[in-house]
Amino acid sequence: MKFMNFDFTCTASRILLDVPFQIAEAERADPNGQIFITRLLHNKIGFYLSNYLRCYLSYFSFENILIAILFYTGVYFLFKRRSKLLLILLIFPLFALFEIFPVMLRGIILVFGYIIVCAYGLFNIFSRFRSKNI
Amino acid sequence: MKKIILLFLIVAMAAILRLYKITDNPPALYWDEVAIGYNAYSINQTGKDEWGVSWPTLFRSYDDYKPPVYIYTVALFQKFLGPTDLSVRLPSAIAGILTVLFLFYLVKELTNRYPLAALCSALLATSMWHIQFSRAGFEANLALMFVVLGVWLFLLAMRKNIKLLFLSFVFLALATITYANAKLFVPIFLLVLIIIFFKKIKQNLKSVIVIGLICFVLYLPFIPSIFSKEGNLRAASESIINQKGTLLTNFQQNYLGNFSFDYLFFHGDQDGRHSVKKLGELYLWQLPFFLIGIYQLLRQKNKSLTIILFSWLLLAALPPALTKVSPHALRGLLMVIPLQIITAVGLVRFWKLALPFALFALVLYLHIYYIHYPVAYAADWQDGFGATVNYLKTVENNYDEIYIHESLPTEYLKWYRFSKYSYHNLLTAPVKINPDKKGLIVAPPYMVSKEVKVLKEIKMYGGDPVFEIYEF
Repeated sequence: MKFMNFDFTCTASRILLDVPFQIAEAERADPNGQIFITRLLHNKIGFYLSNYLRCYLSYFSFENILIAILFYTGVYFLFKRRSKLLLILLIFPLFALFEIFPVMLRGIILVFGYIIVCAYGLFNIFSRFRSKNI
Repeated sequence: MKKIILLFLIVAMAAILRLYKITDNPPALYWDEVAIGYNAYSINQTGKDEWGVSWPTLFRSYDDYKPPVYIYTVALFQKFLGPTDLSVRLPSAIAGILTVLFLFYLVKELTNRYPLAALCSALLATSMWHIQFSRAGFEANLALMFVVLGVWLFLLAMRKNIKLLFLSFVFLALATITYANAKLFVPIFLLVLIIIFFKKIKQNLKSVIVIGLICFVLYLPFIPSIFSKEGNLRAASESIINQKGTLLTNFQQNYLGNFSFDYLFFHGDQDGRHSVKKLGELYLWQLPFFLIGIYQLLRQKNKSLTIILFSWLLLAALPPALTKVSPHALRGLLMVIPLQIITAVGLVRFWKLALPFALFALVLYLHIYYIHYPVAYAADWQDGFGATVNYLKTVENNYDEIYIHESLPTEYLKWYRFSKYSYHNLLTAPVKINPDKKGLIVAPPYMVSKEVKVLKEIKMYGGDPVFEIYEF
C-alpha cells in the first residue's frame, strides 16, 4: 500500500527532459503554422514554471485518506498559529524536487517532513478535545 | 441598475464562450451524442425509441441504458430545429448558460453578498471544466443545472415561502433521472440540507410532508427504472468492485485523486473528450485563492455556509470515486460549483490583482481549445464518421450494394438517415456474388491495400485519414 509520493518521478532532471517534448507537442498540434502565436503562448518559461509547481505540489498529494486528513489539519493549524514550523512545510519537498542529497537522505527528509506536519495536526486535534472536556 | 447590467454581461460572456462555433468545435458528434440524437428523432417520429419501446423511462441505446431527461429535451428542441447536429448540443449549452445565471442567485441566497455572487458566476462562465461539457451533448451538464436550480429553490423556500419546496424537489428529482452521478449525490445532499434547516422544517412539518408525498407520487413511474437491473447495468460494469486490488485502497486512491493538485490544476481528466488535457480542470491562477478561500471558510462564523459548501464538495467526489476510472471530470462535474464558490470567497478581496492572470489564462485556454484541441483529439470525437455517411448519401444511387466496416457504428447511419448498406465484417475482402452489380466498400485505411484505387479518403480535422472508400 502506497501512503505517500516516494517514487521520485517528479524531479528537476525529469522536467528538463520533459519540457522539449511538451513544446514539440504544442507545435505539432498547430495545423495552420501560426508558430509565432503558439510559441508566444506556450513558451519555455510557462512550461518550466508550471512543471516545477506541479512537481512541488505532487509531494502534497496523498493516497491515504487518514494521512491526508492529518496532514492538512496540520497545515491548517500551522497557518492559523503562524507557526515557525511553516518553514519546514514549505521547504521539505524541495530536497526531493531538486535532488539535493542522495536518494536515501531525500527519502528520510521527506518522511520527517510528513511526520512533523501530521504530528502537529494530531497534537492540535487532541489538545482541542482536551480543552473542550475540561 | 448597474448590478443588472453586470449580470447581463456575465451571462452574455457565458453564452459567447458556449455557443461560438458549437457544431464545429468539438469537431464532430461522438457516439453517445449520435445515439441521443437518433433516439430523440425516433421519439418525435413514432413515439418509440430505436428498439421499439414506446415512451421509455430508460433508453436501451448501446445496451448502456441511458437516462431519459436529456433525450426528451433534445426531442423537444428537434421540434423547432429538425434533426440536426445543433439540436443535440444546444440543450447542453443552454443548460450551461442558465447554470451561470442560477449560480448567481444561489450564491446571493447563500451569502447575501452581491460581489461574491457576481464573481462566482463570472468564474463559472469562464471555467474550463464547465465550458468543455457545455459545448457538447453531455447529460451531466443538464443534471448540474437541475441541482443548482433545486438547491437555490430549497434555500429560497426556507427563507421566503415553504411552497417553493415543491419546485425544488421537482428539479432535484429531475436531476436524478438526468445523469447517474446525481442519483447518488442528491439524496445525501438533500439530507444534509434538511438537517441544517431542521428548525424551519419542523415549524412547517405538515406542508413539507404533503409536498414530499406529492413529489414521491410524481416520481413513482421512474422508481422501477432506477432500481432495475438495466438501470444499474452501466454503474455495475464501471463499479469499483471490478477494479484490480483491494477495495479500501482503491477507494481511497480514487477519492483523493479527485482532489489532487495534478488533476485539478495541471493535467485534468485524461480523456480527450473531457478536457483539453494540458491545463487541468481549474485555472492555475485560482490555486492560491482556492487555498485562501478554504482557510477563510474554516475560520468564519457562519458555519452553515461552510457545511453546505464542503459537504457538496466532498459528496460530489463520491460518484467518480466509486467507479473504476478516477479522477473522472464528467462523473465529478458536480464538484465544479463548490470549487468555484470557494475560489470566489478567497478571490473577492484580491480580484483586481488576479485579473491580468485570469485574462492571460483565458486567452491561453481559448487558443488551445480552438487551435490545438480539434487537431490533437479529433479521434476522440469520432471525427470523420458523419462526413463518411454524408459522402455516401451523395453517391449511393450509383451503386447497388455498399459494404461498411463495423468500426462505423450503425447509429451514425441512422442519425444521418442513410438506408442502403450491408454491414460486413471486413476481415477478408468480400466475395463478389453478382459480377454485374456495382459495389462500394468503406474501410479504415489500415485494411486497404496500397494497390487499390481509392475513390475518396475521408479525413479528420487534423488531416489523419479515417475511412477510405473504393469500388469493387
